[in-house]
Amino acid sequence: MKSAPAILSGMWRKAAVIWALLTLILAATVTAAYLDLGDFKLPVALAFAVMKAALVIVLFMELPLTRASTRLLMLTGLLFVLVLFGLTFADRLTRPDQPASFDARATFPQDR
Amino acid sequence: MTNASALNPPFDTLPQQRQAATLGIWIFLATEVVFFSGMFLGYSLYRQQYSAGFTAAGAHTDILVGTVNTFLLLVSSATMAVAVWAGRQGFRRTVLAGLVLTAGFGTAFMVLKAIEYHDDFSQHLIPGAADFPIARPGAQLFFSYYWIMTAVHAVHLTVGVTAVSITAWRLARGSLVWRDTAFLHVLALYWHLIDVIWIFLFPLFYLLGR
Repeated sequence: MKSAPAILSGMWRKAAVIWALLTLILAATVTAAYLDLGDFKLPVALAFAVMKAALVIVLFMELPLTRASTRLLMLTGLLFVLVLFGLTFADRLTRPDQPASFDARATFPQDR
Repeated sequence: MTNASALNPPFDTLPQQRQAATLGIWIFLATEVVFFSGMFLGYSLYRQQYSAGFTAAGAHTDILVGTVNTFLLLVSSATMAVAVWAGRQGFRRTVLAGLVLTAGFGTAFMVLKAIEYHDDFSQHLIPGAADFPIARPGAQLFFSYYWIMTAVHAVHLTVGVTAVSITAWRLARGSLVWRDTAFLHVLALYWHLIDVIWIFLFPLFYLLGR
C-alpha cells in the first residue's frame, strides 16, 4: 500500500508528464507554421492537432477505459462527421461549376 | 459521506449510476462534436474555394495570444485531470486545488480572448465593415468563421468555468457528493472536450499565413 503523499505526487507527476508532452507538440505546431511547407502546412498543423487531441482523449478523458457502448457512441458521432464531410466534398470537388449563390462575392459584394 | 446519499433513484448500485452518468455525458459530447463539425465543414468549404484569401486573413490574427491561450487550456486540462484522479482516492484538498486552478486558467483564457477581440475590433476585422482591411476574396468569410467559432467556443468555456467554480464552492462548503459519484469525472469530460475543440480551432485560425 502506497502512502498518501506518494499517491498524490504520483498523480501530479503523471499530469505533468502528459502536459509537458502536449506543450512540446504545441511548440512543434507553432514552429511548423513558420516553415515553408507549401500545401502541406495545414495538413501538418492538423496532424499535430490530432496528436494533442488523442493525448487528451486517451489519457485525460480515459475513453479506452469506458465500456464498449460508450466507445461505440463516440465512433457513431465521428461516423456522422465523416459522412457530413465525405458527401459534401464528394459533391464540391466533382462539380465543374458553382451556383452563383455559392460565390462569396455574390453574398458579400464588398468582398473584392 | 454515506453511500445512501450518493445513490439516487432509479439506480440500484453506485457503479450502475456512475456508468449511466458517464454514458450520458458522452452522448452529449458526441452531439457537441457533430454540432461543431457543421461549422468546421463551412470553414473547410470556403477555405478550399478561397485558400489565398484565407491565408491572407489568417496572418491578421494574433498568434501570440492564440498560442498562450492554447497553452492555458492544455494546463487546465492537466489540473482538471488531477482533480478527478484525486477525487477517486478521496483527497479532498487536492480536488479543490485542481478545480480552483482549472477555473483560474479558464478565466485567464477568457481575459486574453477579450483583449484579442478588442484588438480585432480596433483593426476593423469585422465582416461587412466598410473599412475591412484585407482586400482579398474570402478574407471576410474567414473572419465570419473566426468570430462565430471562437465565440461559440467562448460560450462553452464560460459555462465550463462557471460549472467548475460552483463545484469548487460546493466542495469547500461540503455540500457536494463527490466521493462515490461520477460528478467530477463528468464535469472533467465536458472541460476536456472544450480543450479538444480549441486544439482544432487553433491551427485553423492562427497558423495560416505565417
